[in-house]
Amino acid sequence: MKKLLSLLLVAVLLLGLVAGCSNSSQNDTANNDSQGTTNDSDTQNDTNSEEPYQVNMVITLPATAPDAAAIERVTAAINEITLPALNMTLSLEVVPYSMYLEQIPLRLSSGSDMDIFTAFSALGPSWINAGYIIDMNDYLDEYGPDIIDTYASEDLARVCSMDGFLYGLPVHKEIAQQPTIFFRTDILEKHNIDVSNIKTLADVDALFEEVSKLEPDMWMLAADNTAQGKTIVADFLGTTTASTCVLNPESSTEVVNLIASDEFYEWCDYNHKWFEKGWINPGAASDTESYYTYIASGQAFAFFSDYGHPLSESDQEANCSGTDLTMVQMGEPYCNTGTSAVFCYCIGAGSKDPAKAMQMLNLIMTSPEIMNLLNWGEEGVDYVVNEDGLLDFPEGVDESNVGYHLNAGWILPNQFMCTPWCTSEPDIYEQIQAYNETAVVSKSLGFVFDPAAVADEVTAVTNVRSKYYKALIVGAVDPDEYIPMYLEEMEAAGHQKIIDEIQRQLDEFLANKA
Amino acid sequence: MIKSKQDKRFEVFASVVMVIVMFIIIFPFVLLFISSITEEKTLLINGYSIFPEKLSLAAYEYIWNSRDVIFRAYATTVGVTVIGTTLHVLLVALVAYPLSLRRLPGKSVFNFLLLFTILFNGGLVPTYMIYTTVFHIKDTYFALLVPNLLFSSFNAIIVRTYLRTNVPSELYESAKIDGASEFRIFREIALPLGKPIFVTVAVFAGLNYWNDWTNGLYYVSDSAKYSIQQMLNVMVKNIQYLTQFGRAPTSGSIPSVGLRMAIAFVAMLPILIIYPFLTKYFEKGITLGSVKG
Repeated sequence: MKKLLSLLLVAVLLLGLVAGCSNSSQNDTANNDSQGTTNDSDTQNDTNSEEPYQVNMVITLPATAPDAAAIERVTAAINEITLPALNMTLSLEVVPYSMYLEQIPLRLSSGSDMDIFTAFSALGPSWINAGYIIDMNDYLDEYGPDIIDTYASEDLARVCSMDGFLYGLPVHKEIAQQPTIFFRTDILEKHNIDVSNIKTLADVDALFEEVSKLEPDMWMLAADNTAQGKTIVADFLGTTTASTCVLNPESSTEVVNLIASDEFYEWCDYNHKWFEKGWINPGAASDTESYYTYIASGQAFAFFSDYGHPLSESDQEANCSGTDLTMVQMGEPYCNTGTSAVFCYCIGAGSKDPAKAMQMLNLIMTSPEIMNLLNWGEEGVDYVVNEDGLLDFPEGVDESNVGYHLNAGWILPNQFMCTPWCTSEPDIYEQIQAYNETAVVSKSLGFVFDPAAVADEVTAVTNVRSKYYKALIVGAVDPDEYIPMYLEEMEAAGHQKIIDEIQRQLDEFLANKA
Repeated sequence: MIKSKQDKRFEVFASVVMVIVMFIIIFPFVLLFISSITEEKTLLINGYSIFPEKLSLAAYEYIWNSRDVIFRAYATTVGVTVIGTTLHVLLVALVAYPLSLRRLPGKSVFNFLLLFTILFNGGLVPTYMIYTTVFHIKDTYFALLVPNLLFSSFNAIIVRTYLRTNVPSELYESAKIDGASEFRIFREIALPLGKPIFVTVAVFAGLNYWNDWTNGLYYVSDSAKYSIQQMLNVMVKNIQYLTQFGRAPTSGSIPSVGLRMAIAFVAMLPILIIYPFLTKYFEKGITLGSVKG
């Protein structure tokens, strides 16, 4: 028996040895491979002797994905471009947003070989700390020079960085947000009201006063309980507590407590007044229904928004089931880390060859053919080019039976490469780029706060926030009474420590930048 | 038996309490149903109410009009539930019956393994890895079927205890003397005599399959393979997305509140219908299995 056991032991040890060897030899070849590609990329023409590398790309969409056959058809067409250019193939997967927050972290933590994937930039810092994604800096310099040129400035290209760790490349779309208010056009026309001069909350208040007399049964405002007061221009510096920010970010770099600011008080005070008068949906503080629903149903008259870009009016009208809306911009567009990179594309830590992933991303972001395929599908099958040079559905095809039609340029790598759809204006992408240039840029652009050092305080403050925040911003409670209580509890939860830490990191960042 | 005054008082009291409890249980279902037939605008302005101002069948019309999508999800759920429950009960029976026999060699080892998997499991990430990289069940119907099939040691223990305490071993012995094979004993003695507990386990498993959306969430991103519960979940998430990022999903408008209620109602209808017919087994099975074990 003993003999048998010892034999077994020897066998196991030997096996381990062999496995160890084979692993390391695999690694060696992998290293050789990637060195090989370094050389190859200089002389791209004779890469064909090698086995094509498959890049796994995952895109997230707020809708159901096209069926597998359609995706396969489109990727086959994309591969006809990528194979000769890079000797790589693309394997595309579309994950609906409803599963994104569960599936993507699961895959990342289980070491899946996702190469390129859509990420919410706000999740970047925690994913860096978890080791899910790689630092793209070196790869970007070496393999992605064309990508940098697609951004208005190099700062914008590297905006998704935390402490020098570049975790993603932002999606090309509008980079700015803007305090905006939307009104139902039918009501404005019915009573012949001019809203073009609305600039402040006091103006809005006067308007509501007027309209509420004319339309006594209507709610004046459909409140949103998820965001901060949308007329407040602030740079939140990649923090998640919604209470630490820089106000007047174009000139100031002082981190302050938003809840203690006059701006926040003003917002809460007006909303409280409106709420008391019954001008805001009464369930606003706990509502999980989208505020668009109230506009679409004809019950509410107006809503505030962050989106003042050229596409916004038609976007919001679509959100409100086609209700005709009038957009009024109440302030200048502002740009900071958060607004300029809502989504980005990351390279996963499980990628077998990040260098090749970056080369692929470089090709995708600079190729109109690939971007059109990704967004609109195949020409002749999913779309045709009409006489104006814009895209339209082919004969007999519409939105309900088209095979592949993402129509989601704002979450794809570079929609500016696409040809616009016939329902939008022909120069819509130029309009967005022009809008981007008008934005007032925050001095802290590119800074993302690393919460690791004050994680406990952040959790504590977030808990306090969930107690007060929603009720305050929709005006359900009296700010004179509740803001002091909120502040006191925040203080007890260690809010000042968070502010100090952000300020320290921000100062460091600014010093390095200069 | 003549009822004393005290008995009568107790009966009245018990009935009143039961009626109140019943109302509390039934209320959400009624509210759900009424909400699904309330007119959309009334629902938004007045909120949920048992006596809405205006009724409308728009949500059910919508379901009927998009029946190819919704019924497909429905068929997936029904299919997965039927196949899953059958397999589950079969597996549980095949594990539990031998364990209930006193003559099984190495019984304590098997019992330990069963108990161990109740208390400890790999956790989400390792489980996910095994399913996706070893079994490749991602985006297949197996993803909806397999995970629930394998976490059933608890049910196996209930069944084992039931069979051990309620089926006298003399029955097996006499069958053996009459020349019955092991499999025949299982089929013709253990299965019929354990009917209450098998129905109980079937109800457990069936409900579990019917209500399951987490496996779909983790493993299925192909919309053709959605179950009805997952479809509801997708709708709700899309609305969250809309409020958060201000962009509508690419195609189709956001389903109304009424529609979500209607789908939820349609999704639980079969359970509401089938459940009463199973309760008699259910009660018996559960008490017998647990009390005497």
